[in-house]
Amino acid sequence: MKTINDSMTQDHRRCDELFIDMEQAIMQHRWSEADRLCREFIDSMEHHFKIEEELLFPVLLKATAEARGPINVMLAEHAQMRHLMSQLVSSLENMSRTLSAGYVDTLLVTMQQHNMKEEGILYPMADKAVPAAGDAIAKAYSESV
Amino acid sequence: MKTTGLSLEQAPPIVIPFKFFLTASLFVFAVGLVLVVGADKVFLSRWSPLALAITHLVTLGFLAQVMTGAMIQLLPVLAGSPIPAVVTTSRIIHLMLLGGTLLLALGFFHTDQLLIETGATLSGGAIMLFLAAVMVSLIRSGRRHDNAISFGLGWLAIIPTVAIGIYMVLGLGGLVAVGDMPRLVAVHLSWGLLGWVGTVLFSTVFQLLPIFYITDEISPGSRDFYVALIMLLLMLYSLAYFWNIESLEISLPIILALFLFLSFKLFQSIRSRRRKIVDVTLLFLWSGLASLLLAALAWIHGDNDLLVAVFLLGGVCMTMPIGIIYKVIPFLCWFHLQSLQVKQGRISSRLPSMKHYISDKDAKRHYLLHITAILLMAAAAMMPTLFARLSGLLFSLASLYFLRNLLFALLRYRAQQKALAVEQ
Repeated sequence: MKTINDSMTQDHRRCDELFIDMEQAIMQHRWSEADRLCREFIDSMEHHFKIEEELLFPVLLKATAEARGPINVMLAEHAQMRHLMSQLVSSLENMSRTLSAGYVDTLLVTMQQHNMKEEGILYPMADKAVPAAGDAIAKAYSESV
Repeated sequence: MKTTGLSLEQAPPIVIPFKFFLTASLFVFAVGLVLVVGADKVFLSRWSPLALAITHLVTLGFLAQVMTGAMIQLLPVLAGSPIPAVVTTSRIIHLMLLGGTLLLALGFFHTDQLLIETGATLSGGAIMLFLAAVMVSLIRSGRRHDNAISFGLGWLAIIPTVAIGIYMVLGLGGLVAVGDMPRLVAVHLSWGLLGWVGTVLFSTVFQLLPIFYITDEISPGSRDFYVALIMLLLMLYSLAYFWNIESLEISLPIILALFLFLSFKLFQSIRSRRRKIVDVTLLFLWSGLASLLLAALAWIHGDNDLLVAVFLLGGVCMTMPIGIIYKVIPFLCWFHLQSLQVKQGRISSRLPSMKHYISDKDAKRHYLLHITAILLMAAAAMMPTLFARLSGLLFSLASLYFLRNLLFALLRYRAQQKALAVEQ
Protein backbone atom coordinates (compact mmCIF):
# COMPACT_ATOMS: atom_id res chain seq x y z
CA MET A 1 0.00 0.00 0.00
CA LYS A 2 1.25 3.44 -0.92
CA THR A 3 1.31 5.98 1.88
CA ILE A 4 -0.23 9.40 1.43
CA ASN A 5 3.24 10.89 1.61
CA ASP A 6 4.48 8.56 -1.19
CA SER A 7 1.69 9.41 -3.64
CA MET A 8 1.64 13.12 -2.96
CA THR A 9 5.43 13.51 -2.97
CA GLN A 10 5.63 11.62 -6.24
CA ASP A 11 3.10 14.05 -7.67
CA HIS A 12 5.17 17.01 -6.43
CA ARG A 13 8.14 15.65 -8.38
CA ARG A 14 5.97 15.24 -11.48
CA CYS A 15 4.90 18.88 -11.25
CA ASP A 16 8.57 19.85 -10.79
CA GLU A 17 9.48 18.10 -14.04
CA LEU A 18 6.73 19.90 -15.94
CA PHE A 19 7.85 23.16 -14.38
CA ILE A 20 11.44 22.60 -15.54
CA ASP A 21 10.36 21.91 -19.14
CA MET A 22 8.16 24.98 -19.15
CA GLU A 23 10.91 27.23 -17.77
CA GLN A 24 13.36 25.92 -20.33
CA ALA A 25 10.96 26.78 -23.15
CA ILE A 26 10.44 30.29 -21.75
CA MET A 27 14.19 30.90 -21.39
CA GLN A 28 14.71 29.84 -25.00
CA HIS A 29 11.86 32.03 -26.30
CA ARG A 30 9.96 29.01 -27.63
CA TRP A 31 6.68 30.74 -26.94
CA SER A 32 4.11 28.40 -28.42
CA GLU A 33 5.73 25.43 -26.73
CA ALA A 34 5.97 27.44 -23.49
CA ASP A 35 2.23 28.09 -23.74
CA ARG A 36 1.45 24.43 -24.15
CA LEU A 37 3.82 23.34 -21.37
CA CYS A 38 2.46 26.03 -19.08
CA ARG A 39 -1.08 24.73 -19.60
CA GLU A 40 0.11 21.20 -18.90
CA PHE A 41 1.90 22.36 -15.77
CA ILE A 42 -1.09 24.31 -14.48
CA ASP A 43 -3.42 21.36 -15.17
CA SER A 44 -1.27 19.04 -13.09
CA MET A 45 -0.94 21.61 -10.30
CA GLU A 46 -4.72 22.04 -10.27
CA HIS A 47 -5.19 18.30 -10.20
CA HIS A 48 -2.84 18.05 -7.23
CA PHE A 49 -4.66 20.89 -5.43
CA LYS A 50 -8.00 19.21 -6.16
CA ILE A 51 -6.91 15.94 -4.57
CA GLU A 52 -5.73 17.82 -1.51
CA GLU A 53 -8.65 20.21 -1.23
CA GLU A 54 -11.47 17.77 -2.01
CA LEU A 55 -10.06 14.50 -0.71
CA LEU A 56 -7.18 14.77 1.72
CA PHE A 57 -7.88 17.96 3.67
CA PRO A 58 -11.57 17.25 4.47
CA VAL A 59 -10.76 13.73 5.69
CA LEU A 60 -7.81 14.93 7.74
CA LEU A 61 -9.79 17.79 9.21
CA LYS A 62 -12.52 15.39 10.28
CA ALA A 63 -9.97 13.14 11.99
CA THR A 64 -7.98 15.75 13.84
CA ALA A 65 -8.74 19.33 14.75
CA GLU A 66 -5.01 19.91 15.11
CA ALA A 67 -4.75 19.98 11.32
CA ARG A 68 -6.91 23.08 10.95
CA GLY A 69 -4.06 25.61 11.25
CA PRO A 70 -1.67 23.91 8.82
CA ILE A 71 -4.47 23.22 6.33
CA ASN A 72 -5.49 26.87 6.34
CA VAL A 73 -1.92 27.88 5.60
CA MET A 74 -1.70 25.32 2.78
CA LEU A 75 -4.95 26.65 1.31
CA ALA A 76 -3.64 30.21 1.49
CA GLU A 77 -0.49 29.11 -0.32
CA HIS A 78 -2.57 27.33 -2.97
CA ALA A 79 -4.31 30.66 -3.54
CA GLN A 80 -0.91 32.37 -3.81
CA MET A 81 0.32 29.82 -6.36
CA ARG A 82 -2.90 30.08 -8.39
CA HIS A 83 -2.43 33.82 -8.48
CA LEU A 84 1.18 33.46 -9.61
CA MET A 85 0.17 30.97 -12.29
CA SER A 86 -2.42 33.37 -13.66
CA GLN A 87 0.19 36.15 -13.69
CA LEU A 88 2.54 33.79 -15.50
CA VAL A 89 -0.09 33.04 -18.14
CA SER A 90 -0.58 36.74 -18.88
CA SER A 91 3.18 37.34 -19.04
CA LEU A 92 3.42 34.50 -21.59
CA GLU A 93 0.67 36.11 -23.64
CA ASN A 94 2.86 39.22 -23.78
CA MET A 95 5.86 37.05 -24.69
CA SER A 96 7.94 38.86 -22.08
CA ARG A 97 10.87 36.76 -20.97
CA THR A 98 11.85 39.15 -18.16
CA LEU A 99 8.34 39.27 -16.75
CA SER A 100 7.82 35.51 -17.11
CA ALA A 101 11.21 34.76 -15.53
CA GLY A 102 10.19 36.79 -12.47
CA TYR A 103 6.96 34.85 -11.99
CA VAL A 104 8.67 31.54 -12.71
CA ASP A 105 11.31 32.22 -10.06
CA THR A 106 8.76 33.34 -7.48
CA LEU A 107 6.52 30.39 -8.25
CA LEU A 108 9.39 27.93 -7.84
CA VAL A 109 10.44 29.17 -4.39
CA THR A 110 6.80 29.30 -3.27
CA MET A 111 6.18 25.77 -4.58
CA GLN A 112 9.31 24.27 -3.07
CA GLN A 113 8.90 25.75 0.39
CA HIS A 114 5.24 24.71 0.29
CA ASN A 115 6.19 21.15 -0.71
CA MET A 116 8.75 20.95 2.07
CA LYS A 117 6.12 21.85 4.64
CA GLU A 118 3.67 19.33 3.22
CA GLU A 119 6.19 16.50 2.88
CA GLY A 120 7.79 17.24 6.24
CA ILE A 121 4.72 17.91 8.36
CA LEU A 122 1.29 17.65 6.77
CA TYR A 123 1.57 14.35 4.88
CA PRO A 124 3.25 12.48 7.77
CA MET A 125 0.48 13.85 10.00
CA ALA A 126 -2.13 12.56 7.53
CA ASP A 127 -0.44 9.15 7.26
CA LYS A 128 -0.71 8.87 11.03
CA ALA A 129 -4.23 10.21 11.44
CA VAL A 130 -5.99 8.85 8.33
CA PRO A 131 -3.81 6.07 6.84
CA ALA A 132 -6.80 4.62 4.99
CA ALA A 133 -6.97 7.74 2.81
CA GLY A 134 -3.73 6.57 1.17
CA ASP A 135 -5.61 4.02 -0.96
CA ALA A 136 -8.22 6.51 -2.10
CA ILE A 137 -5.50 8.96 -3.11
CA ALA A 138 -3.45 6.34 -4.95
CA LYS A 139 -6.66 5.33 -6.74
CA ALA A 140 -7.45 8.93 -7.66
CA TYR A 141 -4.01 9.22 -9.22
CA SER A 142 -4.16 5.93 -11.09
CA GLU A 143 -7.57 6.86 -12.55
CA SER A 144 -6.30 10.23 -13.72
CA VAL A 145 -3.33 8.77 -15.61
CA MET B 1 3.30 17.01 16.74
CA LYS B 2 3.34 20.77 16.95
CA THR B 3 2.58 22.47 13.71
CA THR B 4 2.67 26.11 14.60
CA GLY B 5 5.59 26.56 12.23
CA LEU B 6 3.20 26.43 9.35
CA SER B 7 1.52 29.63 10.34
CA LEU B 8 1.96 32.68 8.13
CA GLU B 9 1.40 34.85 11.17
CA GLN B 10 4.63 33.62 12.65
CA ALA B 11 6.96 35.14 10.08
CA PRO B 12 8.79 37.94 11.93
CA PRO B 13 8.24 41.45 10.50
CA ILE B 14 10.28 41.99 7.34
CA VAL B 15 11.99 44.99 8.90
CA ILE B 16 14.02 42.58 11.09
CA PRO B 17 16.02 40.83 8.34
CA PHE B 18 16.36 44.15 6.52
CA LYS B 19 17.81 45.81 9.62
CA PHE B 20 20.39 43.07 10.15
CA PHE B 21 21.35 42.82 6.47
CA LEU B 22 21.60 46.60 5.95
CA THR B 23 23.83 46.88 9.01
CA ALA B 24 25.96 44.02 7.65
CA SER B 25 26.45 45.89 4.37
CA LEU B 26 27.56 49.00 6.31
CA PHE B 27 30.18 46.92 8.09
CA VAL B 28 31.47 45.73 4.72
CA PHE B 29 31.77 49.39 3.78
CA ALA B 30 33.75 49.94 6.99
CA VAL B 31 36.13 47.15 5.91
CA GLY B 32 36.71 48.98 2.63
CA LEU B 33 37.35 52.25 4.48
CA VAL B 34 39.89 50.65 6.82
CA LEU B 35 41.64 49.21 3.78
CA VAL B 36 41.79 52.62 2.09
CA VAL B 37 42.88 54.53 5.20
CA GLY B 38 45.36 51.94 6.44
CA ALA B 39 46.49 50.64 3.06
CA ASP B 40 50.15 50.69 3.98
CA LYS B 41 49.66 48.90 7.31
CA VAL B 42 46.84 46.37 6.85
CA PHE B 43 48.83 43.85 4.86
CA LEU B 44 51.94 43.99 7.03
CA SER B 45 50.92 40.88 8.96
CA ARG B 46 47.81 39.06 10.10
CA TRP B 47 48.65 40.29 13.61
CA SER B 48 48.59 43.96 12.69
CA PRO B 49 45.93 45.86 14.68
CA LEU B 50 44.23 46.80 11.42
CA ALA B 51 44.11 43.19 10.22
CA LEU B 52 42.49 42.24 13.56
CA ALA B 53 40.00 45.11 13.20
CA ILE B 54 39.09 43.99 9.69
CA THR B 55 38.73 40.34 10.71
CA HIS B 56 36.19 41.29 13.38
CA LEU B 57 34.38 43.73 11.12
CA VAL B 58 33.83 40.82 8.75
CA THR B 59 33.05 38.09 11.29
CA LEU B 60 30.98 40.07 13.80
CA GLY B 61 29.97 43.05 11.67
CA PHE B 62 28.96 41.15 8.57
CA LEU B 63 28.63 37.44 9.38
CA ALA B 64 27.11 37.59 12.86
CA GLN B 65 24.59 40.22 11.70
CA VAL B 66 23.60 38.24 8.62
CA MET B 67 23.50 34.89 10.40
CA THR B 68 21.52 36.03 13.46
CA GLY B 69 19.15 38.04 11.26
CA ALA B 70 18.60 35.07 8.97
CA MET B 71 18.15 32.62 11.88
CA ILE B 72 15.55 34.86 13.53
CA GLN B 73 13.67 34.79 10.24
CA LEU B 74 14.14 31.06 9.76
CA LEU B 75 13.40 29.87 13.27
CA PRO B 76 9.62 29.68 12.92
CA VAL B 77 10.21 27.21 10.09
CA LEU B 78 13.07 25.31 11.75
CA ALA B 79 11.79 25.15 15.30
CA GLY B 80 8.12 25.86 14.95
CA SER B 81 8.08 29.12 16.84
CA PRO B 82 9.85 32.48 16.69
CA ILE B 83 12.20 33.70 19.42
CA PRO B 84 10.33 35.17 22.39
CA ALA B 85 9.26 38.83 22.02
CA VAL B 86 10.78 38.72 18.57
CA VAL B 87 10.70 42.47 17.85
CA THR B 88 12.17 43.63 21.17
CA THR B 89 14.66 40.78 21.52
CA SER B 90 15.99 41.19 18.01
CA ARG B 91 16.26 44.96 18.52
CA ILE B 92 18.41 44.40 21.62
CA ILE B 93 20.56 41.75 19.88
CA HIS B 94 21.00 43.98 16.85
CA LEU B 95 22.03 47.05 18.84
CA MET B 96 24.38 45.15 21.17
CA LEU B 97 26.05 43.44 18.24
CA LEU B 98 26.29 46.69 16.30
CA GLY B 99 27.77 48.66 19.22
CA GLY B 100 30.00 45.78 20.36
CA THR B 101 31.51 45.26 16.92
CA LEU B 102 32.16 48.98 16.44
CA LEU B 103 33.87 49.30 19.82
CA LEU B 104 35.90 46.13 19.33
CA ALA B 105 37.11 47.22 15.89
CA LEU B 106 37.92 50.71 17.19
CA GLY B 107 39.70 49.10 20.12
CA PHE B 108 41.92 47.07 17.77
CA PHE B 109 42.38 50.10 15.53
CA HIS B 110 43.66 52.31 18.40
CA THR B 111 45.02 49.42 20.51
CA ASP B 112 42.75 50.56 23.34
CA GLN B 113 42.17 47.86 25.96
CA LEU B 114 39.02 49.40 27.46
CA LEU B 115 37.35 49.65 24.05
CA ILE B 116 38.35 46.06 23.23
CA GLU B 117 36.96 44.81 26.56
CA THR B 118 33.67 46.70 26.21
CA GLY B 119 33.29 45.68 22.57
CA ALA B 120 34.02 42.02 23.28
CA THR B 121 31.58 41.96 26.21
CA LEU B 122 28.79 43.64 24.24
CA SER B 123 29.11 41.53 21.11
CA GLY B 124 29.67 38.32 23.11
CA GLY B 125 26.62 39.24 25.20
CA ALA B 126 24.54 39.80 22.05
CA ILE B 127 25.43 36.35 20.77
CA MET B 128 24.69 34.68 24.11
CA LEU B 129 21.34 36.50 24.30
CA PHE B 130 20.55 35.25 20.81
CA LEU B 131 21.45 31.66 21.76
CA ALA B 132 19.34 31.88 24.93
CA ALA B 133 16.38 33.20 22.92
CA VAL B 134 16.75 30.33 20.43
CA MET B 135 16.88 27.81 23.29
CA VAL B 136 13.64 29.18 24.76
CA SER B 137 12.00 28.96 21.37
CA LEU B 138 13.21 25.37 20.86
CA ILE B 139 12.05 24.26 24.31
CA ARG B 140 8.67 25.91 23.78
CA SER B 141 8.05 24.34 20.41
CA GLY B 142 9.18 20.83 21.25
CA ARG B 143 9.37 20.09 17.54
CA ARG B 144 12.55 19.01 15.86
CA HIS B 145 13.31 19.88 12.31
CA ASP B 146 15.55 17.78 10.08
CA ASN B 147 18.13 20.53 10.32
CA ALA B 148 18.12 20.93 14.09
CA ILE B 149 21.34 18.96 14.63
CA SER B 150 23.55 20.52 11.95
CA PHE B 151 22.33 24.06 12.64
CA GLY B 152 22.35 23.50 16.40
CA LEU B 153 25.91 22.15 16.51
CA GLY B 154 27.07 24.90 14.16
CA TRP B 155 25.65 27.56 16.45
CA LEU B 156 27.01 25.89 19.58
CA ALA B 157 30.51 26.28 18.09
CA ILE B 158 30.21 30.00 18.66
CA ILE B 159 30.31 29.45 22.45
CA PRO B 160 33.99 28.34 22.56
CA THR B 161 34.76 31.04 19.97
CA VAL B 162 33.37 33.77 22.22
CA ALA B 163 34.76 32.21 25.44
CA ILE B 164 38.31 31.98 24.05
CA GLY B 165 37.97 35.47 22.57
CA ILE B 166 37.00 36.94 25.94
CA TYR B 167 39.76 34.95 27.66
CA MET B 168 42.33 36.45 25.28
CA VAL B 169 40.95 39.94 25.87
CA LEU B 170 41.39 39.38 29.63
CA GLY B 171 44.89 38.09 28.87
CA LEU B 172 45.71 41.28 26.94
CA GLY B 173 44.59 43.27 29.99
CA GLY B 174 46.90 41.21 32.20
CA LEU B 175 43.99 39.75 34.17
CA VAL B 176 44.73 36.12 33.23
CA ALA B 177 47.87 34.46 31.99
CA VAL B 178 47.70 33.32 28.39
CA GLY B 179 50.54 31.02 27.42
CA ASP B 180 50.93 30.69 23.71
CA MET B 181 48.75 33.48 22.27
CA PRO B 182 49.23 32.69 18.54
CA ARG B 183 48.19 29.09 19.08
CA LEU B 184 45.19 30.13 21.16
CA VAL B 185 44.21 32.52 18.37
CA ALA B 186 44.35 29.56 15.99
CA VAL B 187 41.93 27.63 18.25
CA HIS B 188 39.64 30.70 18.52
CA LEU B 189 39.46 31.24 14.79
CA SER B 190 39.08 27.53 14.02
CA TRP B 191 35.96 27.35 16.19
CA GLY B 192 34.69 30.59 14.69
CA LEU B 193 35.42 30.12 11.03
CA LEU B 194 35.21 26.35 10.63
CA GLY B 195 32.91 25.38 13.50
CA TRP B 196 30.42 28.20 13.43
CA VAL B 197 30.49 29.99 10.04
CA GLY B 198 31.56 26.95 8.02
CA THR B 199 28.99 24.47 9.27
CA VAL B 200 26.07 26.92 9.46
CA LEU B 201 26.85 28.25 5.98
CA PHE B 202 27.16 24.80 4.42
CA SER B 203 24.04 23.53 6.20
CA THR B 204 22.17 26.54 4.85
CA VAL B 205 23.34 25.98 1.29
CA PHE B 206 22.52 22.25 1.47
CA GLN B 207 19.04 23.21 2.64
CA LEU B 208 18.45 25.87 0.00
CA LEU B 209 19.83 24.25 -3.16
CA PRO B 210 16.84 21.92 -3.65
CA ILE B 211 14.48 24.87 -3.21
CA PHE B 212 16.26 27.20 -5.62
CA TYR B 213 17.47 24.78 -8.30
CA ILE B 214 15.59 21.48 -7.81
CA THR B 215 18.59 19.37 -6.85
CA ASP B 216 18.62 16.04 -5.03
CA GLU B 217 18.42 16.56 -1.30
CA ILE B 218 21.43 15.57 0.77
CA SER B 219 20.15 13.24 3.46
CA PRO B 220 19.95 14.95 6.87
CA GLY B 221 21.73 11.90 8.34
CA SER B 222 24.90 12.30 6.32
CA ARG B 223 24.90 16.07 6.79
CA ASP B 224 24.58 15.65 10.57
CA PHE B 225 27.39 13.11 10.48
CA TYR B 226 29.82 15.51 8.78
CA VAL B 227 28.93 18.39 11.08
CA ALA B 228 29.32 16.20 14.18
CA LEU B 229 32.66 14.92 12.86
CA ILE B 230 33.88 18.49 12.30
CA MET B 231 32.91 19.39 15.88
CA LEU B 232 34.69 16.34 17.25
CA LEU B 233 37.84 17.18 15.32
CA LEU B 234 37.67 20.77 16.56
CA MET B 235 37.52 19.47 20.11
CA LEU B 236 40.60 17.35 19.48
CA TYR B 237 42.34 20.34 17.96
CA SER B 238 41.52 22.39 21.08
CA LEU B 239 42.88 19.60 23.28
CA ALA B 240 46.10 19.77 21.28
CA TYR B 241 46.49 23.29 22.63
CA PHE B 242 45.27 22.83 26.19
CA TRP B 243 47.07 19.53 26.84
CA ASN B 244 49.96 20.24 24.55
CA ILE B 245 49.51 17.13 22.45
CA GLU B 246 51.09 17.97 19.14
CA SER B 247 49.87 14.84 17.36
CA LEU B 248 46.27 16.06 17.70
CA GLU B 249 47.01 19.09 15.56
CA ILE B 250 46.48 16.86 12.55
CA SER B 251 42.71 17.42 13.17
CA LEU B 252 42.88 20.84 11.51
CA PRO B 253 43.98 19.65 8.05
CA ILE B 254 41.40 16.87 8.32
CA ILE B 255 38.65 19.44 8.96
CA LEU B 256 39.80 21.45 5.95
CA ALA B 257 39.78 18.30 3.83
CA LEU B 258 36.22 17.60 5.04
CA PHE B 259 35.12 21.07 3.98
CA LEU B 260 36.70 20.57 0.59
CA PHE B 261 34.85 17.29 0.30
CA LEU B 262 31.57 19.01 1.24
CA SER B 263 32.30 21.73 -1.33
CA PHE B 264 32.80 19.05 -3.92
CA LYS B 265 29.43 17.53 -2.96
CA LEU B 266 27.78 20.94 -3.25
CA PHE B 267 29.43 21.54 -6.58
CA GLN B 268 28.26 18.18 -7.85
CA SER B 269 24.78 18.79 -6.56
CA ILE B 270 24.67 22.12 -8.42
CA ARG B 271 26.03 20.52 -11.57
CA SER B 272 23.36 17.83 -11.58
CA ARG B 273 20.54 20.28 -10.79
CA ARG B 274 17.33 19.72 -12.71
CA ARG B 275 16.81 23.43 -13.30
CA LYS B 276 19.49 24.39 -15.76
CA ILE B 277 19.49 28.14 -15.31
CA VAL B 278 22.50 30.16 -14.15
CA ASP B 279 21.47 33.09 -11.98
CA VAL B 280 23.36 35.57 -9.81
CA THR B 281 22.97 33.50 -6.66
CA LEU B 282 24.63 30.60 -8.42
CA LEU B 283 27.52 32.84 -9.53
CA PHE B 284 28.06 33.90 -5.92
CA LEU B 285 27.90 30.28 -4.70
CA TRP B 286 30.30 28.99 -7.37
CA SER B 287 32.75 31.79 -6.61
CA GLY B 288 32.53 30.99 -2.90
CA LEU B 289 33.30 27.32 -3.51
CA ALA B 290 36.19 28.24 -5.83
CA SER B 291 37.56 30.59 -3.15
CA LEU B 292 37.57 27.76 -0.62
CA LEU B 293 39.71 25.73 -2.97
CA LEU B 294 42.05 28.71 -3.50
CA ALA B 295 42.24 29.24 0.28
CA ALA B 296 43.19 25.58 0.74
CA LEU B 297 45.86 25.82 -1.97
CA ALA B 298 47.28 29.00 -0.43
CA TRP B 299 47.27 27.31 2.99
CA ILE B 300 49.09 24.24 1.69
CA HIS B 301 51.61 26.50 0.00
CA GLY B 302 52.04 27.91 3.44
CA ASP B 303 53.87 31.21 3.26
CA ASN B 304 51.08 33.78 3.01
CA ASP B 305 48.50 33.71 5.82
CA LEU B 306 46.95 36.93 4.57
CA LEU B 307 46.14 35.39 1.21
CA VAL B 308 44.38 32.50 2.98
CA ALA B 309 42.46 35.04 5.06
CA VAL B 310 41.37 37.02 1.97
CA PHE B 311 40.06 33.90 0.22
CA LEU B 312 38.37 32.55 3.36
CA LEU B 313 36.87 35.73 4.80
CA GLY B 314 36.18 37.64 1.61
CA GLY B 315 35.91 34.86 -0.93
CA VAL B 316 33.89 32.30 1.02
CA CYS B 317 32.38 33.86 4.14
CA MET B 318 31.13 37.02 2.46
CA THR B 319 30.46 35.85 -1.08
CA MET B 320 28.21 32.88 -0.34
CA PRO B 321 25.88 34.65 2.12
CA ILE B 322 25.48 37.63 -0.25
CA GLY B 323 24.39 35.21 -2.99
CA ILE B 324 21.78 33.74 -0.66
CA ILE B 325 20.58 37.18 0.44
CA TYR B 326 19.87 38.03 -3.21
CA LYS B 327 17.26 35.26 -3.28
CA VAL B 328 15.96 35.55 0.24
CA ILE B 329 15.28 39.29 0.45
CA PRO B 330 13.29 39.51 -2.83
CA PHE B 331 11.31 36.41 -1.88
CA LEU B 332 10.55 37.78 1.60
CA CYS B 333 9.36 41.07 0.05
CA TRP B 334 7.00 39.23 -2.26
CA PHE B 335 5.93 36.75 0.45
CA HIS B 336 5.06 39.44 3.02
CA LEU B 337 3.06 41.49 0.53
CA GLN B 338 1.31 38.42 -0.80
CA SER B 339 0.46 37.38 2.78
CA LEU B 340 -0.88 40.86 3.40
CA GLN B 341 -3.20 40.39 0.44
CA VAL B 342 -4.32 37.01 1.71
CA LYS B 343 -5.10 38.61 5.05
CA GLN B 344 -7.13 41.27 3.24
CA GLY B 345 -9.03 38.44 1.67
CA ARG B 346 -8.24 39.14 -1.99
CA ILE B 347 -5.32 38.49 -4.25
CA SER B 348 -6.24 40.12 -7.46
CA SER B 349 -4.02 43.18 -7.65
CA ARG B 350 -1.00 43.37 -9.89
CA LEU B 351 1.62 42.41 -7.33
CA PRO B 352 5.02 42.23 -9.08
CA SER B 353 7.21 39.14 -8.82
CA MET B 354 10.22 38.86 -6.50
CA LYS B 355 12.59 40.08 -9.23
CA HIS B 356 10.96 43.52 -8.95
CA TYR B 357 12.69 44.16 -5.60
CA ILE B 358 16.26 43.42 -6.70
CA SER B 359 16.70 43.10 -10.44
CA ASP B 360 19.09 40.57 -11.99
CA LYS B 361 21.01 43.44 -13.56
CA ASP B 362 21.64 45.19 -10.23
CA ALA B 363 22.65 41.97 -8.47
CA LYS B 364 25.00 41.07 -11.32
CA ARG B 365 26.67 44.49 -11.20
CA HIS B 366 27.32 43.99 -7.50
CA TYR B 367 28.68 40.51 -8.19
CA LEU B 368 31.22 41.89 -10.68
CA LEU B 369 32.30 44.66 -8.30
CA HIS B 370 32.53 42.26 -5.36
CA ILE B 371 34.57 39.62 -7.17
CA THR B 372 36.94 42.20 -8.65
CA ALA B 373 37.44 43.65 -5.16
CA ILE B 374 38.22 40.20 -3.70
CA LEU B 375 40.70 39.46 -6.52
CA LEU B 376 42.38 42.82 -5.95
CA MET B 377 42.57 42.06 -2.23
CA ALA B 378 44.23 38.75 -3.03
CA ALA B 379 46.67 40.66 -5.20
CA ALA B 380 47.20 43.10 -2.31
CA ALA B 381 48.04 40.20 0.01
CA MET B 382 50.92 39.44 -2.34
CA MET B 383 51.84 42.98 -3.46
CA PRO B 384 50.45 45.36 -0.82
CA THR B 385 52.08 48.54 -2.06
CA LEU B 386 50.52 48.17 -5.49
CA PHE B 387 47.05 46.92 -4.69
CA ALA B 388 46.08 47.62 -1.06
CA ARG B 389 44.46 51.04 -1.55
CA LEU B 390 42.87 50.13 -4.88
CA SER B 391 41.34 46.97 -3.39
CA GLY B 392 39.96 49.05 -0.50
CA LEU B 393 38.39 51.54 -2.88
CA LEU B 394 36.76 48.86 -4.95
CA PHE B 395 35.60 46.99 -1.88
CA SER B 396 33.96 50.17 -0.52
CA LEU B 397 32.29 50.72 -3.87
CA ALA B 398 31.04 47.13 -3.96
CA SER B 399 29.63 47.41 -0.44
CA LEU B 400 27.86 50.67 -1.31
CA TYR B 401 26.30 48.93 -4.28
CA PHE B 402 25.14 46.13 -1.99
CA LEU B 403 23.68 48.70 0.41
CA ARG B 404 21.98 50.43 -2.53
CA ASN B 405 20.43 47.18 -3.75
CA LEU B 406 19.07 46.37 -0.27
CA LEU B 407 17.77 49.90 0.25
CA PHE B 408 16.04 49.89 -3.13
CA ALA B 409 14.42 46.58 -2.23
CA LEU B 410 13.12 48.11 1.01
CA LEU B 411 11.83 51.24 -0.78
CA ARG B 412 10.13 49.18 -3.49
CA TYR B 413 8.59 47.01 -0.78
CA ARG B 414 7.24 50.10 1.01
CA ALA B 415 5.86 51.50 -2.25
CA GLN B 416 3.99 48.26 -2.96
CA GLN B 417 2.74 48.13 0.61
CA LYS B 418 1.33 51.65 0.25
CA ALA B 419 -0.27 50.78 -3.07
CA LEU B 420 -1.98 47.80 -1.44
CA ALA B 421 -3.28 49.98 1.39
CA VAL B 422 -4.70 52.47 -1.11
CA GLU B 423 -6.36 49.75 -3.15
CA GLN B 424 -8.20 48.44 -0.13
